This record gives sequence, structure tokens and C-alpha cells, in this order.
Amino acid sequence: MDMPQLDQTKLNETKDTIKKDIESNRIVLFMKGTKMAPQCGFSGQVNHMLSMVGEPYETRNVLEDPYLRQAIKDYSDWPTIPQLYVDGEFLGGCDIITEMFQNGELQSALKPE
Amino acid sequence: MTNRKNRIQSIIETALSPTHLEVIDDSASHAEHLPVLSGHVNSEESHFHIIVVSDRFEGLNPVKRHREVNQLIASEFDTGLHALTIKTFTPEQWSTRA
Repeated sequence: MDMPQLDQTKLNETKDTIKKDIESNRIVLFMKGTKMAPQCGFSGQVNHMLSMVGEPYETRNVLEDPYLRQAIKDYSDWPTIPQLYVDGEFLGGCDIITEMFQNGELQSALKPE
Repeated sequence: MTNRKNRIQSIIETALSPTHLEVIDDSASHAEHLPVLSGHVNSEESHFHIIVVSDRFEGLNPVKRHREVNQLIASEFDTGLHALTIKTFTPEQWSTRA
């Protein structure tokens, strides 16, 4: 593999940062690229569905930080990007979010209480 | 060339006794973009679609179903598996799917 060697302490710190992030922001999408310029088809797809639903959401670009890219996989126990968090809970990756969008569950999951 | 596909198939067959299983190697259609995105030198056996129908999924939500499949093939991600789409069904869901 071509991943750089990551420092375990810094990896744990990044997991703490993720925890704070998803607790203080209602909807957070961890993706490759940005809202305006997604850099992966799967990330772009989820980003697009979120914009269609219309609730405000934050995105984090895992390509900007190798620690974030690894820590989010460890934190969620989920091997792929994108990952969507709502109300501090992991809601799913691209396949699950797409399925939820198609059957209308995503719209209700994203509506505030 | 189809080593990963065979491995994934056999692991899932053993663990989940699926009534229907499709493991599709879609790497060829991503050969152009992959090295740019991931830095992986070898783009073979990197993109897969999996469709699993198993009664083991009964009563599990989608996240738990996908976790089961992901955990079964976790080691593949360490050896170059880059993108994976998973569709899970119970036999009942599969027979009544739209």
C-alpha cells in the first residue's frame, strides 16, 4: 500500500475532533473533495442528494488530511468514503444513503425534530 | 486476474450461505481515473459490486448488513480494494423487489 505511516497519537486526536464535529454539527458528510468540486463519483452522488433534500449540511474533505481519511474509517468502523453523520450517528455510506433517498427515508431522517 | 473476485465469493458463501450472490469486478471502467484519485499503481481488482441475498440479514438494518459484508472482506481493503458497492436483500425482499 502507498498510505503514509500515521502516528497513533495524532490518529486518536483526530478521532476526538471527529466526535466533537459530529456532536456540534447536525449533518456532516465526510467526502472526497468539496461541495463545489467532489473528487469521487460516490461522494458527488451523496453530496447531490443532500443538496436536493435541502437541509443545511457541512462537508469535510478527507483528501486534505491523511489523518482524517483514516480516522473517520476507524471511528465509524466503515471502510469506504463517503460517510454521512446525522445527529451524531452514522447513517450510512453511498449505497445506503442512495437507497434511503430513493424510498424517501433520507428526507425524514434529515428533517429536524 | 480474478483472484479477488473468487476470494470474496468464497468468503461470503461460507459466512452467509446466500441464496443469491453476485460479485462483479468493475475495475475496468475505472481504470482511467483510479491512479489519479488514489495513488494506487495497479488499478486491477479495485472496484467491485456485490449483491447478496441471505436470510442472515433478517431483522438487521442496512448499516448492520453492510458492516457484516465489509467485515468479512476487510483484508481486501488492505491489498488494493478501493471501491465497493453493496446491495443486500433478504430472500423475501429479493423475490418482491421492484
